[in-house]
Amino acid sequence: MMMRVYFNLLGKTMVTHGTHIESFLSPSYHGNINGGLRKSVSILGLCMLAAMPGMPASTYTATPLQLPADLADGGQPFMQVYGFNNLGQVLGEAGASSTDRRGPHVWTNGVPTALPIPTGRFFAGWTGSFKINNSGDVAGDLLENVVFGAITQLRHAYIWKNFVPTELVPPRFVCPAGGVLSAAPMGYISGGLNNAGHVFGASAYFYQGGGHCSEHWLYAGGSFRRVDLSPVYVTDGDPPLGYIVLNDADQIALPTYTGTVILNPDGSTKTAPPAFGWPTGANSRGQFLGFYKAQSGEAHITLWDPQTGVTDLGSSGYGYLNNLGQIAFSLPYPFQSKIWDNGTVTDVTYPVLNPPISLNSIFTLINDAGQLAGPQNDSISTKYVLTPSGNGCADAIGGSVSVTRGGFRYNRANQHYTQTIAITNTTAGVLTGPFSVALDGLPQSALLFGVAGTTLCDAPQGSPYLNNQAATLAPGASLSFTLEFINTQGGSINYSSRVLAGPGGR
Amino acid sequence: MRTIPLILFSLLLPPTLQADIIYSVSLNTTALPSGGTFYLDFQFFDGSGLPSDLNNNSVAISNLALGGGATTGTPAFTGGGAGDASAGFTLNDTQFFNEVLQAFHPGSFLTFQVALTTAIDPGGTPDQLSFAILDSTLLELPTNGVANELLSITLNGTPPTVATYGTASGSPYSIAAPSVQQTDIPEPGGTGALLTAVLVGFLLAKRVRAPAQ
Repeated sequence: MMMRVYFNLLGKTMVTHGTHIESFLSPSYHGNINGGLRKSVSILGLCMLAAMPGMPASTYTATPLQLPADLADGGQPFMQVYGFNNLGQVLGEAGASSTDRRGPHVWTNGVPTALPIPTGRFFAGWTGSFKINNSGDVAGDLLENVVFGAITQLRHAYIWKNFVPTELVPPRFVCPAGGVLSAAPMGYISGGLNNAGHVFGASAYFYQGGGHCSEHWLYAGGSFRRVDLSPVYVTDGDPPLGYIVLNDADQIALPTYTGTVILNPDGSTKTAPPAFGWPTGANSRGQFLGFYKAQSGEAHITLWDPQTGVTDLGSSGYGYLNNLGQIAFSLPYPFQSKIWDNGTVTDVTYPVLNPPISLNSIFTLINDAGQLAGPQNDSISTKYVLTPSGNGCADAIGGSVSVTRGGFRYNRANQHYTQTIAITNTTAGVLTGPFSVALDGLPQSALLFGVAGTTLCDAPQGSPYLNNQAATLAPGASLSFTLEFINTQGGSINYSSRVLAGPGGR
Repeated sequence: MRTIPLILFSLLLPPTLQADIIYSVSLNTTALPSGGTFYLDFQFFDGSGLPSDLNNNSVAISNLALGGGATTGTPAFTGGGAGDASAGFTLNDTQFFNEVLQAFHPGSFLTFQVALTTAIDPGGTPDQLSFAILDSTLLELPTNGVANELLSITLNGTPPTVATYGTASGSPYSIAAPSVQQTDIPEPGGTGALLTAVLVGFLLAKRVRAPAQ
């Protein structure tokens, strides 16, 4: 079996969409590798994975994303990736080059699953408006052909949970009766869906004879509440721009002509420093990713941490922010992927021979385990998940420690539900650190704040963990961890704890 | 003199629950501006929030004294919070998060009594009562506790684990960690004495009122 790999080496033009700079490139090089190579890069043994997660990796192994079998026979294959989560799932669109022969997919361990499209709806042909969260939920919009005055298409908001689509039909809040509804998640570049499964969206009611009324909503916990944008905009109508970000605390970053304003759930606002520019992403630490365009025309990626201010990463292209505060970003042509981590920048080094990934590829979709997905700078080359490689996994030491949990308290100052957890060495020997506590089975509505990473090496994958860098733990000695949860729904917080120790990957 | 029977009432009236343990809590609040508005924040979390664990513990907050200060406004409740400042508050773990918020103007001290049941939730996460003082914007005065609490009582055994914290260095007001004293629980035979005390109080009140009639 032959596997076709297409690489683009030369850029023609670039159009910026926030930090996601789409490249319209000429297909200048087509390469082939055979099936033997493909086998060699197939699913990895998890025990081969990274040491010391939380630090950018120096080497990676690659898992290819398969082209959907049912859509692959329509001429030139098409595959583009837009989202990535802590389960290692990749969101994108794939199929044939013809837009009516491709659709949204989620790849799990490299295997694609199509997102079902309900009858009467069709895929708009661009999953840049689709989002995936760390539970595997996908939010996006589908179109419907209609005849209603001058309106010929309506946009409908959907959320897929376990690949089952549910249309989000918000109630009418303030718009006058009548008209037809078009509703869709907002934030076409990033952020209409957060990790709690909440969706920020907009509704527009179109009336016979012309005119429309817009209102905005947050879908959370199975119900809708109105989001009044009038504290930010002059009217509650359509925001002027598409860059809208919803973070895990249900804060909404809204672009204005003078910068970015954060709309808090209680209706209060906070204005970002002008140097931040417009928002494109956010993480559970309360940080926001943004961009601005310099006078030279170059886009600059920015990070705004309300605690420390704005950091300018310089001239750059694509950029994504994970919950560790790391930013995977690309330099403009000649493309190069890098990871910014608290001021230190590390080059992403691709596997050279197995498979041969072009140095000009852009891998900036990053998750909390340090995995990367891409390339994003073309629609025809094979896509991969890059997994940090290292020196084995940490030890699960649940049998050597006791775990004592404290009770909860809600901290109004940071709106976190806080709990302490202590591990005690119950053996007669000294345990070797560093130590981590991973939380398995957390409810989707409870998000661990300040994660050191998510498990990748020790199954199950995707569990958030905190670190304690203690080198050793003496017999009878204890270590304490403070857990803080973002829990906007206020529901109970249950989990199973898993204690990992040693220098290997988590 | 009319206040005597009322004081007797408030001192002798038992908590409205069969407590396993009782604590007397006191704080020096002279650092708080007497004209300012602050909030007493009592939070009572169920450990798991699961139906099997709910409603197995209760807390009674009573004998609230403010050292010349006064409560103001009506309390706000979440979940299993109820009561008022004069009769006392109760908190039941009817849901995961239960809370009593009461505004007050500070005096020189703050004292109250906490009576709790001490059932241990089976899920591994214990129920916990915690107390903080909030400023007028409903944010905690920063303390050295992990969630800005001044006091936490974790129902993880008998006796529960009690932790106290003073305000942190960044706090605009300096308050030392509360003093917490465990109080003897009335013996079962003491119930009759309590009833007698209530009766005496009632009669005293009647005598005090009589001349005015």
